[in-house]
Amino acid sequence: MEEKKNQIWAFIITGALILISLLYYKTNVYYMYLIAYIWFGFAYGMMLQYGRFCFASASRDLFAAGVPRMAVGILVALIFFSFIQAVLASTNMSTFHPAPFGIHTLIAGLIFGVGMVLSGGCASGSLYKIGEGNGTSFLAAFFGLCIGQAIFVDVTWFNFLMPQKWIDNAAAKGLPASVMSSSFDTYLAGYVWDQPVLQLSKTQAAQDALPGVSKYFVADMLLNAMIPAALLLIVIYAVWMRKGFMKKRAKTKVGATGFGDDLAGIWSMITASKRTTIMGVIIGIVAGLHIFVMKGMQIKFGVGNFGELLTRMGHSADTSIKGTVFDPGYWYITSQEGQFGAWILEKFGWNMRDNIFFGVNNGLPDPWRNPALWMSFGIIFGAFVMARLNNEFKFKLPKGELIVWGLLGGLLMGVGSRPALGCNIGAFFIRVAGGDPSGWLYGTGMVGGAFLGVKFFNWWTERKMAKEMESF
Amino acid sequence: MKTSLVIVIVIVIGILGFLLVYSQQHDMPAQAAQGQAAGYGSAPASGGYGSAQAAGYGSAPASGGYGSAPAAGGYGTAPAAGGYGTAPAAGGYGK
Repeated sequence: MEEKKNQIWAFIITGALILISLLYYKTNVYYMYLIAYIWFGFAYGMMLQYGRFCFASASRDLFAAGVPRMAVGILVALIFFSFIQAVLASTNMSTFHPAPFGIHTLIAGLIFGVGMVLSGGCASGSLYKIGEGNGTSFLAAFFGLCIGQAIFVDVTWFNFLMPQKWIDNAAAKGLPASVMSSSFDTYLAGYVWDQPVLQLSKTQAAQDALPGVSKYFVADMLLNAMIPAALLLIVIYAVWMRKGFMKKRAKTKVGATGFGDDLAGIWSMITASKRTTIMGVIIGIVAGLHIFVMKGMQIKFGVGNFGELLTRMGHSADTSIKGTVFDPGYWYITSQEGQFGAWILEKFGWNMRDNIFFGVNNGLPDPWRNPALWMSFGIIFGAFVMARLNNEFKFKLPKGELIVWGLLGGLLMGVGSRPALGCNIGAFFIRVAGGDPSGWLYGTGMVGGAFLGVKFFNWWTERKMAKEMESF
Repeated sequence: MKTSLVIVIVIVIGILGFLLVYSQQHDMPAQAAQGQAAGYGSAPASGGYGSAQAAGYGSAPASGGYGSAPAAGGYGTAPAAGGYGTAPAAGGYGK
């Protein structure tokens, strides 16, 4: 009976999204652009839920339990995605943009890493867990990533942290005062915009040494993504898996173990969880396909940003003063959630357009005309459908300290995703695969933050248990 | 694998496949072409910062996750009186 009910729910949601897509198409053909985001989001949601892909789980499992399954899955996905990215870049079908490189990326990753462990899900993980009925993830995503992020980019609370040099630099950019009101504006215009933007294939060395399209495959794919990812797999194997594997191997093998056994050990680690690894491969391919489709849509409609289509359709009020909205062109999570939070706050009379983030760069479209936000909704719906079909959906209302961890973790994720202009997906996964070394800087910070978060949780749990034992 | 799951997967693959083919057909759809002819494509009326795509902020930047801040010459290429000051460095945020 329960299974039947789950199937009905799955078909209702899938059918509703098909209907919504048809209505969009009927309204204006330009909405095909937005429909693409809906369905790629839906596919991500299904895959994330099925593979239980979550950067927070990966870190927690690795550092707290010594289980590398998820971390390996993420690295496998990264390797495949980098290949697809290189193919797309070589055919001029990539929408990838590298980000400013600097210490801010590392610090932001650190804050985000702590946050994702506290809340129990990364930015993408929180969305798919909402689809599974997880109330703590909803708290983290709604109050932290949506509302918290929107407030963070619009307040002056952090002005005391802004050096005079940034203030002067920001003023020199000549932006109108009406969009330069927050501490984050000073940080962006006074610091981030002046940082170098790196993509290995675009460096002079790569241009000189690697002719034609080979620079995308050697510099971006091999040097920036595959080799570091392979090295990380080796490190994970050496630290967490090798001892146990070799012990087992020595029992079944005649003679000493050697290099071949280590290779077998690494392969065994990669294939230990077929579900996660296969999903890693498919996610990598679908993420690449997403870029290909979005680039195709841009060429088809002769635009570089969905804001231009909104303007053509008469919705210029949705866009920033540049005529743009947030339209990454690929898998991205947090910025659109900040837009959603800002849209809600505007309904309460808060002017959210007087800052660079919304006013100049990302615009503030209504949620039903926000393509990237539809991708996030798509992830939730896709995960919901997959969870229902696998009988894994369950409403779990947050209780007690879970409410605190959800809110606090979500806020830290929101705050940690803004300074680096992205989260575990946009600032790490996409950038690394695209040849941008700042992705590794963010990843390093994120893993460091996750490690601290796991240590904090261990300390907290032990302290709590000790207190309970005392009173027992 | 359950039949219901297979059905949903087939639907999703079908839709993604359709979007893939659709996005690579680069002829302008009739409705879009009509829309542009009717004036959708023209720059919106000036409203404080000038039109989105007219000189002043430059053309809308290519999509970029970081909001691709002012391209070279953004915010008033060689600002005329009432412009927005000096042009920021090329590239900038997320370019």
